[in-house]
Amino acid sequence: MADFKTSSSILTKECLRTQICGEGEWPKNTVIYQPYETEQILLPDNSKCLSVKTFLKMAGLEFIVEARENAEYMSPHRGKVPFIKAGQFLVADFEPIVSFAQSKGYSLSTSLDETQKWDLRVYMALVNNVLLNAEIYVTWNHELTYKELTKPRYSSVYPFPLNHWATYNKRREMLSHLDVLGWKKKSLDEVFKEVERICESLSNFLGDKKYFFYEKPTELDALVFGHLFSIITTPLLNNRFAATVRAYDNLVQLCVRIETEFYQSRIL
Amino acid sequence: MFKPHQLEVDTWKGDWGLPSIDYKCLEVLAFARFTNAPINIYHSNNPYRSVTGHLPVVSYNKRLLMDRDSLMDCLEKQNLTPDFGLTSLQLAEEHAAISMIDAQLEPALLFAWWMDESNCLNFTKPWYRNALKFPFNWYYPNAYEREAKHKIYTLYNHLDSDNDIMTEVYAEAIKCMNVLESRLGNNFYFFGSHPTLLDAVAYSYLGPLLKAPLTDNRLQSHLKTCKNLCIWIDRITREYFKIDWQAHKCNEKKKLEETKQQMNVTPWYKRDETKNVLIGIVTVITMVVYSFKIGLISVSDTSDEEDED
Repeated sequence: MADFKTSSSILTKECLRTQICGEGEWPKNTVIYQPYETEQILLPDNSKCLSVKTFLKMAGLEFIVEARENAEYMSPHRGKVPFIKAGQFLVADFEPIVSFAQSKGYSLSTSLDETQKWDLRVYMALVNNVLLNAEIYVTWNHELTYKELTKPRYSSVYPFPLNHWATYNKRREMLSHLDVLGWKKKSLDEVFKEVERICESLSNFLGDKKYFFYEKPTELDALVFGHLFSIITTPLLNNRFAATVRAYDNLVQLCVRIETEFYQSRIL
Repeated sequence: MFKPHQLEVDTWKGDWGLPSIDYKCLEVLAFARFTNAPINIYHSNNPYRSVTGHLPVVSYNKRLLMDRDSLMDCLEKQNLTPDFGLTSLQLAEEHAAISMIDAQLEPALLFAWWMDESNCLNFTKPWYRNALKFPFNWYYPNAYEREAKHKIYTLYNHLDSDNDIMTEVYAEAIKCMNVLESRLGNNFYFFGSHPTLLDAVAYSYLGPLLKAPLTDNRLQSHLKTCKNLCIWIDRITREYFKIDWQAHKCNEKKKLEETKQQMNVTPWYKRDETKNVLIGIVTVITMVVYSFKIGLISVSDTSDEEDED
């Protein structure tokens, strides 16, 4: 029985942060930190930043975007961007930010029933595990893309000796991440096959609904939008990645819908 | 005579009622059993000939099948797949659920087996040392430990201490178990009356987590409270791995009987308590005799009288 107590204490420990900040208003002057969008940011980070911003907009929470060249090193969890500064708290990455907002009473998924919550969870895991890794693969492991796009962009903000070292280090980190997940030895074709498969799954799940869970947008919509929109709009060496996603009409429609509803100014 | 090709699988042996103790082997075995694929199983316990240094080694028609996707492709070509009859929506759900399970239960299993020090020293390494043959048992357990640690540290390199990593890994795994539990409900299998790939994958992680006799078993004690999952694991073992299940039951019975017999038969002079008391008595006697001999205690009337004088 003592063991069971410790197992539940793991969960409580994890919730501790949210318990400390307690329930209350969404702090004013919440700032979201991210790398520079035009010169610096890379595809995986861009997707995550866009997901977080979309989520906050959907929940109707106010925030200011600040671009910092060293956002990655300012983050409370090393290397994870974007992160938000809300009152006294620093929260990094999509899911922790979602649960932070939830502790403040802002959630998009409260009206879902048990099966829908399961769906929400598994599809979010799918996007985080497959689509994100595919983006990392294209950005860091594809030799040409790395040389032509990733390296100049990533090193652009650092002065001379640091730019080589920082880029080399980051690449090593990302490659070993792909390696332990078994993605490094995949060929580009296999990666795109994975992307196709995930798009097919998402497209099947979306069907002809307005959002993934009918009328109201949820965290899943924000996450999927962030990734797909970045993939479609980011210029890469060739448009194969974007074309793979574009083949699924209802997913593109979803992106357009969210884009017009929450970001009037941009053009798809 | 034409002989159809069979899947040839080298695996780790089973224990505690499971057909194999390694999650990857277990997945292949479960998958083959669910599809009724013709299969030859060798409990070789020897990863020496494997390219990756890991078991299982799966081959079909002398071609190696390295991962889950190639195995599925190979079986699908023979019209063997457990996912027949699922709608496209269910297939999408299965795809998503498998990615969640892979991402959240694998680190938990690796952490519990290799990163937790007491488990690693008292359970995992001894098990592998016993299963492997002489020169290999010096190498592979350590190599596996290194590999598991490398994997965990790479995946969670944004966290600083082992304790933080443990909290995160276990919390994710517990949440994952909870949603699986509520998704399974009272169903026989995840998608109704037939096991699918999702069942195979989930079983391969949850089976070892539930059955392995770890010294520090926080996840296990949580999993035991998920009644549906426990029943479901036992159901799969009973229906698809009958031989292992029966062997395990026989072993358990034998052990129970043995312990019972020992309890009844032990005569009084063989029990631990009597031994301890005897040793105590002997020690006390020796000490007393010794102290007499060196003169620490002396019983003499004469000296008393002399003092009085």
